[in-house]
Amino acid sequence: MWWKSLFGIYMVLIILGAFLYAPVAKGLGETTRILFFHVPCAWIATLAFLVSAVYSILYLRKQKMIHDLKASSAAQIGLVFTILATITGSIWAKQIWHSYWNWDPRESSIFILLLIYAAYFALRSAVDEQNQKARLSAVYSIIAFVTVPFLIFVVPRIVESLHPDPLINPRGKVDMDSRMSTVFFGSFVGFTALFFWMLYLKIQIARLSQFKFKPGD
Amino acid sequence: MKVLISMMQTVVDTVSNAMGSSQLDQTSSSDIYVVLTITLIVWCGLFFYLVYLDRQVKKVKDRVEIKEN
Amino acid sequence: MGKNAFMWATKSLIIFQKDVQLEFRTRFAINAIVLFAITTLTAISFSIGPARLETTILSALLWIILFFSAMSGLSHIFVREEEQQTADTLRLVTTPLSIFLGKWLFNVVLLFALEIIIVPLYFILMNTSQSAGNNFLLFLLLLFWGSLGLATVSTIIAAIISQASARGALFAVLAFPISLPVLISSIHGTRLALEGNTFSECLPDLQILIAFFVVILTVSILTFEFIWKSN
Repeated sequence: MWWKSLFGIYMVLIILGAFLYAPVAKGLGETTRILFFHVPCAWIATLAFLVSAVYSILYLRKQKMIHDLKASSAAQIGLVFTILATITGSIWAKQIWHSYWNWDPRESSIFILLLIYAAYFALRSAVDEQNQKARLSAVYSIIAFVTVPFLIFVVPRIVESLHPDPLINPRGKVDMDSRMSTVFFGSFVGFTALFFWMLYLKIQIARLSQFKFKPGD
Repeated sequence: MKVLISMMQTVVDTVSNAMGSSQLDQTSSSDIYVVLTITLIVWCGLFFYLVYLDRQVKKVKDRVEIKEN
Repeated sequence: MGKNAFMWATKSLIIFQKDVQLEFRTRFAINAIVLFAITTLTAISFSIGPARLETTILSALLWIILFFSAMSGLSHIFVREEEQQTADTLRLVTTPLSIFLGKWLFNVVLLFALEIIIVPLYFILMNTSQSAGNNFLLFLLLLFWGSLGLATVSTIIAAIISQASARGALFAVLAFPISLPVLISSIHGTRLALEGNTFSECLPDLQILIAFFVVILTVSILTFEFIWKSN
C-alpha cells in the first residue's frame, strides 16, 4: 500500500520537474512542457492496445472469461488515453502550427487508433451473448493488432507534401537536453505505472461485480 | 471516467490559454505557475480518486473472500 | 498430404459454387454492389462535367467508390446465411476452412466482376487522358492486389458482424480501420501509376499490398474457426 503513496509523490515530482526543472526546447517555448504529458498519453494508448490484444489471444486459447474481461478493461483505459492524446495533440498543434488538424503521420496514427478502439466497442455493444461477445471482439482485436505494423509503414505516405512534420524532424533524432530527457522518461515510467494500476483496479471491479451478495450483508 | 476526462480537459484548456498568452516565450511568467498549480490539482484529484477506488475494491474483495470460505 | 489439400480445395469450390448459383438466382449482392458503384459514379461525373481532375483526386475517388461498393455488397455472403438460417446447417456440412475459402473466393470474384464493369466506365466518364501503356499494367497490378486485400478484409469482417446486430453500419465501422493499409497504399500507388511513373517507384506500395494480403488472409484463416463455431 505504501508504494502507492510513493507513486503519488513520484508523479507530483514529475509534474514539478516538468514545469520547473526541465528547460524548454528551442522554437517551441513554454509549450514544450506539454510533451511531458501528451506523449506518454499516446504511448499508454498503444500499450493498452497491445495488452488488450495479448489478453484476446489468451482468451481464444484458454477460453476463460477472465481474459476477455482483462482485454476489454485494457481497451477501455486505452480509449480514454487515446482521446486524451488526440485532444492534447490537437491543441498543441494549434499552438505551434496554427491549425488543429493536419493529417501528418503522428496525428493520423492516433486518429486511426481511435477508430480501432471505437470499432472494438461498437462490436462489443452489438452482441448480447457474453461468450459470443468475447469471441468476436477477441478476433477483431487480433486482426486490428496485425494491421498496426502495416499502418506504421503506410501512414507516413499520407501527407507527402511540402509540409514536413516539424514535430518529428527537430525532435526525433535530436538529443534532448539531459534534464528534459530525465523528466520525459520519468513521465513515461509514471504513466505506465498509472496504467497498470488503473488496469488492476478495473479488472478487480469487473470481477467483483459478477458476485452477488446475500441480503442483510 | 467522465470526471477524469473533464478534469484533463480543464487543464488542457488552461494550458493552451496560458500558452497562447505567452507565445513568444516569457511574456508573463506567472502564467506557468497557474498551469502548474492546476496540473497538480488535477493529479492530486486523480490520485486520491484512485486510492479511494483501491480501498473500495479491497473492502469488497475481503467480503467476497469471506463468503467463499 | 496431397490428398488432404485436394479435399479442402474441392470442398471450398463446392461452397463457392453453391454461393454463385444462389447469387445467380437472386442477384442480391451483385445488384447492390453494381448499383451503388454506378450511382456514385454518375453523381460524380455529373458534377464534374467536362472538367479534368488531377490524378490525386482521380485515384482517391476510384478507391472510395470501390471501398464503399464493397461495404454495400460483400457482407451479403455471411449475413444471408444467418438471416435465412442456413448457417447452422452449413456448420454441420463441412470444415470452417472450406467455408471461409469458398466464401472468400466468392467475394474476390464479386469484387473483380464489379471492377471489370466500373473501372473502364470510370476512366471513360472521368475524361482521363491516356498516358503511356506502361502505367496501365502497373495500375492493373495495384488494382489486383488491392482488391484481393479489400475482399479478404471484407470477408473476415463480414463473418464477424453476421453474428451481431446492426450489421450494415457495423460492417463499415469495423472494416474501415482494417482496410486503411490497402486504401492508403492503393490510392498512393494508383496516383503514381496514373502519372506515368515506373514500376520501381510504385514498388513499395505494391509490396505493402501483397504483404498485407498474405498476412490478413493467414490471420483470417487462423481465426475464422473461432468466429464460426456457435455456442
